[in-house]
Amino acid sequence: MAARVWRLHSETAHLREQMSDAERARIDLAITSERNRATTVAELVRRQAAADRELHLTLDVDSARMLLQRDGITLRSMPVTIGVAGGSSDSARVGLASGARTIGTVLDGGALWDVPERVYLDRDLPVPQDRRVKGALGKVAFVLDGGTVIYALPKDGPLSDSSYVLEGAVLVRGDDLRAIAPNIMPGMTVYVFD
Amino acid sequence: MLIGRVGNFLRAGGTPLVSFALTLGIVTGLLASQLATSRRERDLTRQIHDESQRLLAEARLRADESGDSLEAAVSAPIDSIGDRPYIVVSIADHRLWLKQKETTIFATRVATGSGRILSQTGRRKWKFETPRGRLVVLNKESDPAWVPPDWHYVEVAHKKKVRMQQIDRNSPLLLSDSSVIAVAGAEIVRRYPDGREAVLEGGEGRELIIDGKVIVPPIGTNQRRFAGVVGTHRLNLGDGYALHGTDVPTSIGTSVSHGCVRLRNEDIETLFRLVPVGTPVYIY
Repeated sequence: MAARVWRLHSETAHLREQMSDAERARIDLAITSERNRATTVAELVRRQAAADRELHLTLDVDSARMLLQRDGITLRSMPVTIGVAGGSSDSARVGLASGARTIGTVLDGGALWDVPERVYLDRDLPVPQDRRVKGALGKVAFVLDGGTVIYALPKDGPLSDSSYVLEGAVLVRGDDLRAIAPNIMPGMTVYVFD
Repeated sequence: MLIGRVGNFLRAGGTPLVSFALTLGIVTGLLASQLATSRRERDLTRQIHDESQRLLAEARLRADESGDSLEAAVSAPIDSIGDRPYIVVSIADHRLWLKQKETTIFATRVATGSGRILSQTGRRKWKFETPRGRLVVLNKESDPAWVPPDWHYVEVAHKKKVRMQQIDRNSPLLLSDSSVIAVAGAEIVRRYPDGREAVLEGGEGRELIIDGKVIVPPIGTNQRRFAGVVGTHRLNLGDGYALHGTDVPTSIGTSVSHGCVRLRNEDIETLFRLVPVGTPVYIY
């Protein structure tokens, strides 16, 4: 009877050991699977962008570049800075996950824009009662359907600080934005991949 | 009676035997209980182990599938213009690039549309913008002549503060000195009352202004063909738009044209040599 108890204990211990190995392998496979899935999605988006016959923007988050593309060719490649929250790049990427978006609104210098409260807080500025600021995003800016903002450094206003980039937004050089702005229309596709 | 016999048995040396039997019973009971517990533990562990193996097999399958999807995604061909050369024009930068794949073969500065608006009172309106989008080189010309569109005469009329007078082949124009402006074949001629006939000479800056009117010659006449104005070569893009040279090289790098993309003569000559008909032209 004691021998049987001992055998059962050994068998249980062996199973536990195997289970630990299996758990580790399963976690590794899940990570591989997730990495493959994310890479696949990004690759599909990149290819979708490359195959798009219409004029569109492509945002390569990893390379920090925005491209004006059509027919699989790049008409203009622009360096961009992506606004991060509290220095953590993960926060910004939540809003810029791989996928296709569209241009929701094209704002000009006369447009009122509701400046988020955090902009004032981040910059140690007093938060005004009315945060709607005319031309807060500069002479021209694009707002994507998910709320992501593409803008250039404005000359004045709460965002006119070259060291500050609006959280989750895409900051483009003024010359680049001016050059592409006449081509950007609401409804135009913006492909984002990481 | 029975108690007495047990007492006798214990006194006669039976105590160790009883103690042994009792101990054996207790140990056996404990072992049986431990065996049952161990079996339950083993069975439960095996159940979880089997479930774990099943999940592992599923994870392996998913990882294989995701790997296959990735491989399929990466290896699928991209539909693009491939190896063909293409031209890109940035209106804002006044720049032109001839490229093949990502390689720049040639780059230069250009002049583009002024964005100016011209109105013909109560009639037509033109906006001199370079068209954005995808165009194609439809054909190429050496020593091209410029056939000025109607807006050219509207501009001249505005500048000279004169009226416009269209001439057509069937209705000569009678002038104040009784001479007549008429179309004779490919020429605009002036016929005097004494029977003399003179071919009128025209050209850019030498438009026919007679009797306070700028004469608009019909298309197809030599007076509506200006040589040299659009440089040495022209790559036509359709709808009157083209990439062409210029007789005003200082205008390159500015927004002054009526919509065409203007290059220095040496640059349009290079493009003329390098660019085949059918080449896409992307203007943004």
